[in-house]
Amino acid sequence: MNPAEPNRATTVNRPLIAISISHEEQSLLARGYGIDHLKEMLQRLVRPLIRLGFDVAYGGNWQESPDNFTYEILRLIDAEKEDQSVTDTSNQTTVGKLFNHVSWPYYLDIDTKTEARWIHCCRIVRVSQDFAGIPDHQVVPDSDRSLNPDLTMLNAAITLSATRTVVSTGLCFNEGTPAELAIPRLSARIVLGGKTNGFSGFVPGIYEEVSLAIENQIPVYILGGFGGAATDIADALIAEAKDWKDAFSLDRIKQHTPHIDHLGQLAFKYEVPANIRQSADALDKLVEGIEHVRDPQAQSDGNSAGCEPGHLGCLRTGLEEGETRELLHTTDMRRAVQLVTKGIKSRLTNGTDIV
Amino acid sequence: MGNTRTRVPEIYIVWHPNFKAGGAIAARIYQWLRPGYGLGPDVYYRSIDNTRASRSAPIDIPGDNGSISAAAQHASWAGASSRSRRAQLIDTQIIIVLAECEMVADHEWRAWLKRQASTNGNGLRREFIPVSLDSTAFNLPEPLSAVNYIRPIGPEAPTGDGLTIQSLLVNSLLKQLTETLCRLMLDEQGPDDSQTAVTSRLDAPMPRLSIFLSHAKADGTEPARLLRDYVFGQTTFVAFYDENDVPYGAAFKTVIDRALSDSRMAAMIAVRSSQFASRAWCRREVSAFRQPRLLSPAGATDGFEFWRLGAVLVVDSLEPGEPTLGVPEFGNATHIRWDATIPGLEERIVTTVLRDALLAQFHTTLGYTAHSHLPESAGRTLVLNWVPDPTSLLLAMGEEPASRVLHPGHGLSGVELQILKEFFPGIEFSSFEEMMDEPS
Repeated sequence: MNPAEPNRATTVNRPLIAISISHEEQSLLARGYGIDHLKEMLQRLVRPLIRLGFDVAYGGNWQESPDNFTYEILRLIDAEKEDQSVTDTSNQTTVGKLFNHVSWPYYLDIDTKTEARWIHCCRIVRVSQDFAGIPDHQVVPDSDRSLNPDLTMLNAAITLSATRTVVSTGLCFNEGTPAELAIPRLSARIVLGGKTNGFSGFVPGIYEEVSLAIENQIPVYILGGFGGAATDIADALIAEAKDWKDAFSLDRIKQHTPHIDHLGQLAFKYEVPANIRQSADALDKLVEGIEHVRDPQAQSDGNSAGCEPGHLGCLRTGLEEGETRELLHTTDMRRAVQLVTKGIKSRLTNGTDIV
Repeated sequence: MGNTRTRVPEIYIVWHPNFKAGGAIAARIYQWLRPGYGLGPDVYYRSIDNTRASRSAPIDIPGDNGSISAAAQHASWAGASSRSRRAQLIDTQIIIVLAECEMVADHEWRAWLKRQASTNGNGLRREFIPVSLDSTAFNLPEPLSAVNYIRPIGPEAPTGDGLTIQSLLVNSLLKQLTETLCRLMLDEQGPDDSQTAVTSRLDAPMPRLSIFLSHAKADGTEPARLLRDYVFGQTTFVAFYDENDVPYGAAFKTVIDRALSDSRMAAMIAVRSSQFASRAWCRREVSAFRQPRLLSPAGATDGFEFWRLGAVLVVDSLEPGEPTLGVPEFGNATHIRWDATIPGLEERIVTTVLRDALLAQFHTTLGYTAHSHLPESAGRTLVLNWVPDPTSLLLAMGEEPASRVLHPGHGLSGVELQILKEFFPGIEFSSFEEMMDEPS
């Protein structure tokens, strides 16, 4: 993707629901679950959404591995499409598809044959270095990645961050862009698990994704009972103690992910586009977002701030306050699916969030 | 099998985190007991607890704190005001302990196991099934060491990183586990649960559950005879095989009808050879066994009918290239292709049909335990223990139309639903899981 004048998408055909889900083995196992539970949960989340005609965004890679869910989602969509093709199509909603937003250099691993194989189920959105705003003189040619590992690392982090923004805001290239070519704006985000150390980019992916969702007034469903980055955020949202911000300090992040320091040095040495948030800024923005959700004033403002009334209303879940709180901590997968499905239907099937 | 005793279990698989093969074995058990979309009992793991500094023993199995199931306990930890409806139905906890030297030698784990074994499940029945994965496994603390272990054949379980699971060992484990669970779930002649809160059902005298072998002798006896020999020689079940079980001079009809209606008849294996479809007795046997049976559970709400269908597995032994008639009575029964060159195929066939019998019983109990949590509707509601197909549903429906059909799983595919709607217009089809997942 390398558009001349990207704009924020203002029209979409149907809702796009992003799912951030990762297999944090130790966290899950400590709660009595394994990867098969996660796969079953994913099925139960995704199937009703695509049957409603919603599209799904999942940013996994294209390697067949036990803990990569790209093919799980593709096979589910494929089966639903085939199923629909042999049944009466009158009055039926077209089954949703997968949007796979993938940043440089990870998209280089996707070959044309693979893309063609799944083209009926998936739209791959490639976010290039150019698109991310990296200046021409700093762009690393695809074939030179191994020759310049430092710049490759920095540019990969920049494009990853840009990709997360694209997922949230969507884009259309110009006024005349056909709707089917536009990248839709996100209608809701579901997060579960997420690495808090050893992650790629400037900050843990779920931190940045939740931050962008709050900032862009996108409903966000945080399943905090299953460990990882989602639990950090869920805990912070309802923490009584005043030290909740400590979990998101740069020093704490650095303790477990040493490459952050190196990335900071590279950012100082090279250029980073102004709209890309580096580690400290991204963490500050997340804390700001959590403070906004926790803020009593925002809660009392309710709709005037684009939030739902009550505590946690700025997560815009479409659930009762007690249900949203329950979603943040329940370790019952059935209950979590039940709540997310209820909330999304409440938010999105009455048309209020389908722009 | 027309009992009204309910037993809805949740399964726990327990292994020591240093036993590297434990996770892979647990995953195989999970996949075996939950073979489809929403089918089978809930399965949970207990291996680590990274919420504590020691990272040794896992979180407790629910029961100590007064909650009634894993899901319920999860909800209570979070201070939730509600929990999933399915969590409210659990009445039995089955705990499979993958025992080997790491677990046996760990003092914190020994204390944890003793605590789980001594805990009254607060109204929940708790059954332990230890699995011996090496020669030290029998040194688990009492009372676990006093029970008979599952002893899978094959080499001792691998230890250390990167070693693969021996399929021989896992298959053997699944076979023995399936039989043990069948005994827990299918034994309707066993002790009354209410009188034996502490005594394990596994301590009760062993009933001899049967598998009915239906085959066309005109096509030879090889698959059926091998299956019979396997059932008698390698399992705790018996096989009904007409050559053995119809005495000389006895009336075929009387003996076979009695066998098919016997409450100890757990499942049927039908060997579908070239002439099976044209043999009247074979068709009659299948037809009789595939006849849904109306149950009469205590406490059933007016308007709800509970139907049970026995597990049937079809062994496809057709001659290559030879045409044969279809057998509509098979409905959507599982099929396995017979191949004499595949070692251990008899084991796979018998274990699979027993697993299906187990699931049939589980879905029966889930159906009539769950129905009080489901919304009532005008007219008849048929609660099935199987995923419906037109043939079997027609038999349950009879002449009076139903308004709603509830079935196991998490929902039918579009094409399944369309076919059923063509046969039964106006009927609402819903799965147990969908109904229970509906927000209250």
